[in-house]
Amino acid sequence: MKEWTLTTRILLAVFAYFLSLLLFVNTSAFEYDNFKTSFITVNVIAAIIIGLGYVTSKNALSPNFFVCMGLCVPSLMAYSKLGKSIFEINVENNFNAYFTAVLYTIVILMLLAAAKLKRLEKEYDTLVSDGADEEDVKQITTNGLKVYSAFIAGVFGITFVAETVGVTFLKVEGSTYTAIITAIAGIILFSGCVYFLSRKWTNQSHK
Amino acid sequence: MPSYVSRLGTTFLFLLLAGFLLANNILIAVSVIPLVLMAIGYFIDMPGNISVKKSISKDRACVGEVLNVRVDVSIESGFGPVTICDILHGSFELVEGNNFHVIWKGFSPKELSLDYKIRCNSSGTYTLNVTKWRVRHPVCDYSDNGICQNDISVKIVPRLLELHKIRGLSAKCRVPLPQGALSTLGMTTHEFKEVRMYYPGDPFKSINWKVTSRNLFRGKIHPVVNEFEKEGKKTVYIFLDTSLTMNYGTKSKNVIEYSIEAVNGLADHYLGENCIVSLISFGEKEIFVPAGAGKRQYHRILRELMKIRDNADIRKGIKRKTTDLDAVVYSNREHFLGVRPLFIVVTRYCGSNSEALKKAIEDMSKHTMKNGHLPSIMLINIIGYEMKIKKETERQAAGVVEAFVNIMSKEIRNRCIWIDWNPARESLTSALLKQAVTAR
Repeated sequence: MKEWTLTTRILLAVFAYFLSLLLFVNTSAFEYDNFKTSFITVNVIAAIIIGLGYVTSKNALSPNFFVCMGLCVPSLMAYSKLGKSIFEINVENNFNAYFTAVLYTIVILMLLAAAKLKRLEKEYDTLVSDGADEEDVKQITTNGLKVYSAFIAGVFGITFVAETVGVTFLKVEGSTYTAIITAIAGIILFSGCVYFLSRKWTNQSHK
Repeated sequence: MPSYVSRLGTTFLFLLLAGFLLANNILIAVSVIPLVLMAIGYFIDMPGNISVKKSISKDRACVGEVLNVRVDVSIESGFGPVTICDILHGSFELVEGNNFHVIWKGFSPKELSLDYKIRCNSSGTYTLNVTKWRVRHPVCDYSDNGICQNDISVKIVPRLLELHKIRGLSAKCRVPLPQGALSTLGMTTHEFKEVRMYYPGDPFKSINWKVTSRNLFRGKIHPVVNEFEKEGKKTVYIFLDTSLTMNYGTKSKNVIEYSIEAVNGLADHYLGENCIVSLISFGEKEIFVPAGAGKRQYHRILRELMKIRDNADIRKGIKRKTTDLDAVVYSNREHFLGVRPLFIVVTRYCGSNSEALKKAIEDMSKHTMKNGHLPSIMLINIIGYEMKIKKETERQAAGVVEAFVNIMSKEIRNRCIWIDWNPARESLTSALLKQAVTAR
């Protein structure tokens, strides 16, 4: 079991990296020299960061996560309206906003899945070394993976809907006041959700 | 609130604020992921309402006996993996089954029974009341744990001697079981014991004139008297070493445990032979069970033996006043007057107690009678070097140390009935049977 979980999480991490790289390559931030030089430079820097992270923490997944997020930042900044106007960031992205959002979500979910696999693998080893029956441990690991896969699929669906709505709203022409009101309403709505959940959590832990 | 949830909340707020500050719809959309995780963490419960019912096949057993344990677990609510661990004391050994289980709890209530068998390697009273559980959330990365308690305890008593009859062999035993321990008090019975030289004070009617006249022809002029067994019970004093040297071995197999087994077996045997038995300890613990007979005395001794086990938990840093065997023999000397008891010393011979043992045996010899050419003193030396060994080289080293100890103890061996008992190789009965010699 450990063999395929290890292979799967390595594959997920590598795919996430390549998707992030794809997003990065399709931005203007990538083209500081010819394609070959830029490509090699970016990969070498990424390899050094991941290598250093692995040497210091014996964990390649966390540095890979930061590298992936770093590579995704230019493509996200390309669709930040205030970023362009206030911070004078001028990045061009060859992909449209919708495609960028979907790719970014896939990167995040792949990294989440890889992290979950690692946790399950660690738990598997701990339980087996503690003396639990290996078949039982396999069963709970498999069930855990099934539940997590369902969660990933659900989250992807919800995020996909949110992105579709978000991109559609991006195209709506409105006044500055409308934008400010929408932003404030959005912040209040989302913060309200967090407040509700955290209050419930606090009440639950007090019980 | 678990730190995992607060981390998720922070990530969510960071993404949301960044999304709104930069007017980035993608970041706002992606912030849904930690929000969904928080919501799932809240709305899907971890397994809960766990109750455990535990039963054990016996509440009293001998050392080495196998006990069946049954744990009925009921999980009423929640969803996710559950780990159940029935806590056992270090003295117990798992024989069959498992006391550690993991199960997946679905949406419906779950009940399961865990059966396993255990063997206890040391005497004492143990509480087996704790069952620990741990539940994990099926999606989020946090867990909860708890304890279920049942009022269950088990009393493990030391093993008794397994006595075997040797058939088809004319043998006699060097071990004084129990002829050597003779009371000099009490009425004379009609049971003839021996003829001996006349001592002033012996009644004239006890003189055996036939033997005396026969001896006159051989040039022996002293009269000879008939000696009869005295009425009354024979006395056995058991001295148990409780010093730190006895804590040798592993948690489940150690010298103190085998010494308890030896004392228990011998006390049971001699009380069964209608003797008076007393237990006195020396070393770290002070135990004194005054001489007595019958089943009640056995239970008194057993109760004290069960308390000795705590000796293994004495911290090495704390220095206690220890009493040597010679000091104990000296302080109890008035008890030995009038009776010629059999002394049994259960110890582990090593360089540190060599001198004290030698002196104690000298003192004991003054209070007891001779059984053959040796006084009625039996020393059971528990050899524990093989209890800890794991490799063949360690076995060889144990053999060398054992041989060295044999040489060191040569002088004492010639002054008493010395019994070497290696519990890793043989039972106490086998060690005692080795003393049997052919009478021809």
